[in-house]
Amino acid sequence: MNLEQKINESRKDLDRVERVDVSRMWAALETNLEQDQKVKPNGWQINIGNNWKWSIAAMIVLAAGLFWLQPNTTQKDIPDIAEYYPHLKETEENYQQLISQKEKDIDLQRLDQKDYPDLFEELALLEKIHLEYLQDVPEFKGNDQLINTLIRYYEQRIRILERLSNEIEKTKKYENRAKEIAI
Amino acid sequence: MSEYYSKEDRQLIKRCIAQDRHAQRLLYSRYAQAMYHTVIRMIPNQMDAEDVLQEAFLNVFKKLDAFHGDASIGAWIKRIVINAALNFIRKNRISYLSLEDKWVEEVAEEQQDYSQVSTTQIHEAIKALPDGCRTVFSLYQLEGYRHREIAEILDITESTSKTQYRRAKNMLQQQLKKKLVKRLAE
Repeated sequence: MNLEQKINESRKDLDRVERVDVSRMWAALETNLEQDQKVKPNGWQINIGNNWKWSIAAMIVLAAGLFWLQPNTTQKDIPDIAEYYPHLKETEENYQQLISQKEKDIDLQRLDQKDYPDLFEELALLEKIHLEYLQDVPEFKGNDQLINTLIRYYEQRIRILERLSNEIEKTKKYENRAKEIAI
Repeated sequence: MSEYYSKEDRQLIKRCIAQDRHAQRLLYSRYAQAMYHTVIRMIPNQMDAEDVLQEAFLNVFKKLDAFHGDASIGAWIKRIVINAALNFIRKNRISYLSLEDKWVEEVAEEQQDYSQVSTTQIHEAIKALPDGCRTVFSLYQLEGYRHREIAEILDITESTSKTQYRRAKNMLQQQLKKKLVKRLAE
């Protein structure tokens, strides 16, 4: 295997060689984003500034409206995919089995979320977005894109779990190497 | 609408444009690691690479409403990241000397097998290349740019781009061969 072939074969791994502290970097970026937002108010914010009395009145009406609507939205049941798309039952079950196996392999329940904060947050966000899509099912039942998105959720969850598994492996390797050096 | 632009991406991008920090963080988490590696291969200094990456992502979030799904969101972000890295390189005046072929040590088409070289060794060897040829090598071999495009971007001739690429490849081969020999000796 020549060098170019080796590099092509390792292309994806070449983007994962170094440990990147995404949490720390995000924290710094978030600060910059906040400052950026403070410096440049958008048109809507400028408008609020000019019409503050009307803005307060609008907020009170909005808050009252949300309070009135709240019981309906919280009572909304979250459906299962198979409940609306019976033909996807088998696919869904296969994915669920695979996910369950992967979670067992990495002992997900016992992992300390603080060790892998980004991946756990990604999992939580994925769940949140998935639940929102599920709530859309009754309204957009026939939409093929929605069905694809619902199924893609499983694929994404599997991918995150695989990344988590890779990170765990890397941590183990680092620890072993550190032990070897210590010996 | 492009096939690259799924409903899910659209939702995520919409939220990012609306300054939803959770969505922004999700997008960042998805791409930061790979993009960091793209930058560190062009600018092999952790602090500089992180600064460039942050600047690039600030641009990503500012310009997101201009993303129309003509390419995947990942490819779009990568273009911004590479541009940020190139701007840094230009500001720091890294020179792309126009090397004549005769100055490049010609290594005959070799039969060396590199299958036993590790990804980490390749990564470190790329980072250790001289500035100019490292950028050309990264853009051509890893980011899929053509020599004509690299020449335009870096304001060099196509011939210089090819020469720098050959130079980088030769140097990498020498470096990695040494590692292989050392490994066999152990």
